[in-house]
Amino acid sequence: MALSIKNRRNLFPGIARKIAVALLLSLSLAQVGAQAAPATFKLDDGTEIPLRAYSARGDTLVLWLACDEGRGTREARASWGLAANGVEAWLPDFLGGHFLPVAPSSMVQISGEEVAALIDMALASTAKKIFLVSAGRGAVPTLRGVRTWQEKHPGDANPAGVILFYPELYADTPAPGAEAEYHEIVKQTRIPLFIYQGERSPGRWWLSHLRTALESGGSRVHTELLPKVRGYFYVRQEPTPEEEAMSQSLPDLILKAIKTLETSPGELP
Amino acid sequence: MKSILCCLFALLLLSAPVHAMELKPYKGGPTPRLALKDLNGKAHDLKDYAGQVVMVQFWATYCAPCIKEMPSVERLKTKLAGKPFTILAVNMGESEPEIRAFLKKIKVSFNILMDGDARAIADWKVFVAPSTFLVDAQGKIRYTLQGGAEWDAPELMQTIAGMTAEAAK
Repeated sequence: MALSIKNRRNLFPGIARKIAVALLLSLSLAQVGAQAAPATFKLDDGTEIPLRAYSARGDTLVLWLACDEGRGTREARASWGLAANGVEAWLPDFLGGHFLPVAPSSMVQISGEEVAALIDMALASTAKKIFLVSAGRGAVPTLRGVRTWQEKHPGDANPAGVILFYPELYADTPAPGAEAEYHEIVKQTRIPLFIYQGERSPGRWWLSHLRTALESGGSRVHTELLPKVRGYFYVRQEPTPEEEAMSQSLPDLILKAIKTLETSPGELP
Repeated sequence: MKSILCCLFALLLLSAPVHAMELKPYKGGPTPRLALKDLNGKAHDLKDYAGQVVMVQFWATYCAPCIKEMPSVERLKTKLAGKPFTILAVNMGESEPEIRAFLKKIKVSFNILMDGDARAIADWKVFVAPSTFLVDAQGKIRYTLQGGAEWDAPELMQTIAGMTAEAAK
């Protein structure tokens, strides 16, 4: 079930390639019915990236960059919840594809080109509106990927937005008393964004600071504090009851963010 | 197993480990203003502590390294009793009931200041809990430490005791 971006591109240029990729993916999904469809797609360098697809009939597709060894329980469960609500979800496993340690620092090593290739493949195989989702340091490759894709497809309104949980976008963790410096991508990003931040985290006090930095690049940014939860709430090994409950509501949070980004994207500065 | 490692790495990022004990010279600007009330409503202004070494520590009840290091902060206070030394532990924007409930479990005798609107967090540029600043007798920030520590460990005690000796001259 491998979907080779490079090879298929060479064999089937233009619309023919899109049809071929769509057929391959739809065949893979049809084989497993309502189950998550394990598939892979190939990067230009031949690297195979595992991908699970949670199919749905609605017109929205979520691409969720998780730090979960390709089998994250929370992200997977939430994807089932999204699919049950008509939102298709794909979970690529970039870390697994590159045999990188499953750690937030590894997420930053995922290149924008690779995420852009994922977006490319998604758009080649579906006409759905695409939203990207990530958390923590996964925000960095997610935004880089969107930027890379936009540079190759200027003016295209799809992907339609990015949803981030407790994003970690500092270039380095700022020393006490020092000015915070963000990754360059923060000021280069120009897409509707929805950020969820745990109320019980130092990051909540810098959310408006981050929002201002993102808006300076031209992004429309919505933010919401999640009450009584810490950062990384849905991957914690000993979650509080409030964090457990919030983790259960991940599909609802994503659906709400999608609705907000669709109906109230805000004005570009 | 890899998923568990991922979670652990993530949590380490959120708050530095308690054994990260290295004081670093402060490289920020002038000492920011710090004027807050404690849990009992008493006003504290850093300026009023001129002539003393002041440990300004930002903490939160949800922060595991903060909880772990608190007993050592209390021991530090005890060991430096009689010296020109004060602890101002600034809670990071939590409510009074939350803090009081926490302090029923973790007993401390040092000053707990309230920063409800996070003004001090912004002024002092605090991004991680806990974050600690050591202010000398002249009111200048000399050192910072990001993350938890055993505050009565010999290396830290030596530096802080040295600062208090300077202050006593």
